[in-house]
Amino acid sequence: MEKILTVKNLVMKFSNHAVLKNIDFDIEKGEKVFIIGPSGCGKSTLLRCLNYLIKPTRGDITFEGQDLKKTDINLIRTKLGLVFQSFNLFPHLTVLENIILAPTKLKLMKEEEAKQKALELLNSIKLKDKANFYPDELSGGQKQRVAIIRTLIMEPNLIMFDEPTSALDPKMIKEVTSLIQEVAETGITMLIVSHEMEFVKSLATRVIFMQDGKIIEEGSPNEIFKNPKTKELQEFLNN
Amino acid sequence: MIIDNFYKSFLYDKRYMYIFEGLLNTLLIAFFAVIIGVLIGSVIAIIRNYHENTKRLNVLNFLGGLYVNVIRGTPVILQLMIIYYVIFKTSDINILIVGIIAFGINSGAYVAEIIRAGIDSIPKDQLEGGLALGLNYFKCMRYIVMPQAIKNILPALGNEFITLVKETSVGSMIGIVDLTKASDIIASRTYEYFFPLIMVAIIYLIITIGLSKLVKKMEVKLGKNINS
Repeated sequence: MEKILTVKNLVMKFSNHAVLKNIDFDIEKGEKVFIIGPSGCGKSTLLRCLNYLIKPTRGDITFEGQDLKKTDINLIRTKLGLVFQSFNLFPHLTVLENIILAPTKLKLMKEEEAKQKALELLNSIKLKDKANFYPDELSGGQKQRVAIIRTLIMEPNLIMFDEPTSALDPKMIKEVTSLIQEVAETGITMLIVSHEMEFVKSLATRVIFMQDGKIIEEGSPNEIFKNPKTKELQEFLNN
Repeated sequence: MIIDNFYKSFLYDKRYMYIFEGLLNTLLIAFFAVIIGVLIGSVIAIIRNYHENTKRLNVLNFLGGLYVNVIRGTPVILQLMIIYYVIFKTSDINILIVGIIAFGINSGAYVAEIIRAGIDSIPKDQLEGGLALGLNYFKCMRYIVMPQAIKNILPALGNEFITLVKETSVGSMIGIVDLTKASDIIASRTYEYFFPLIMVAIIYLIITIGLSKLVKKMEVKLGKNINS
């Protein structure tokens, strides 16, 4: 299979504290890779390093054959989407404006075309009637689904999700995970940080377990959950 | 006697025209100075924020910081005199324009700090949200951060305008006929200071109190739809 993302020797230090220590992994096209691990182990920092929202201290990241250090990062980001834990919708713009902002300002689509596409996408998640609402008028689950649509309209080749359900009421988790599941079925590559173990088991093709800024263990969901090898992972799963 | 004084101060020889001219000049200088101030202030605030985020633009960031410190650390009257007597010494530029430039440059330093506070008031995840979609830093600022920041600082900008309306009275030092100077001109004709001075004081008060009421209204209205 073709590799879409390669990470080599990634190190991230804040002042002198290493948050990521020599991370190595790659993702093949179509994979749904999940990252699990205790809070503060560097999972979110890792995702932010992968699209250079945080510039890593050392290491090489290659996305679709392009070295991030030598490419226009803004172009990479249009194809390497990131959905945030806290949605990061723009409160001064309506739902529709949130979705079409990037494609129109980057001149990837004409405004009419973008609007039509956005409405189609909103229709598919049954939020078309909220197109002219402001984010603060939506529930948490609706906000996150809009944020996912906002990333989808860019037609990314890899979507990263940073704990997409952690800021949600338990009641709303399902609507977001179902949407991610539907999107996954289109064949798109995904890298997801999550604490929802049922969600991980249902969708993952591979699971990476991180602790203290290092990858401790990785494997298929079966290997990780049924047959954890390291003591760290066993302890993490028992808690 | 009182009526006589009032007549001498304002009506005789159409002396009220001085007041009108002064009022117009005061408002003109304050209005254009605040616009220049917002332009300079926005540029400096964005340069300094960009520097904080990326550690680039070192020289521009240094110059911006220097400008803000020099302007805020010296009296406006001195700045006005330097600009008029030193920089524009040999040109016969309209003195009103000198006033607009001087007060604009002065205001820019204060507005830069206001806008910086405004940008800082917007959570960082807004910038990240834009960047993650492939928008560059400046597009994120223009379409995402600044519109929200400006909303938060409109009241502070209103107050800056009020301050400028009062501060322009310093312009009389270099011969600008502003509201304060107008009262002085009238008094020098009549040797009666009471009416001209009280009159312009009342006019200043009407403008500043009116503007603060407007700012308050803005605060209430914005408070309602400012989102967390």
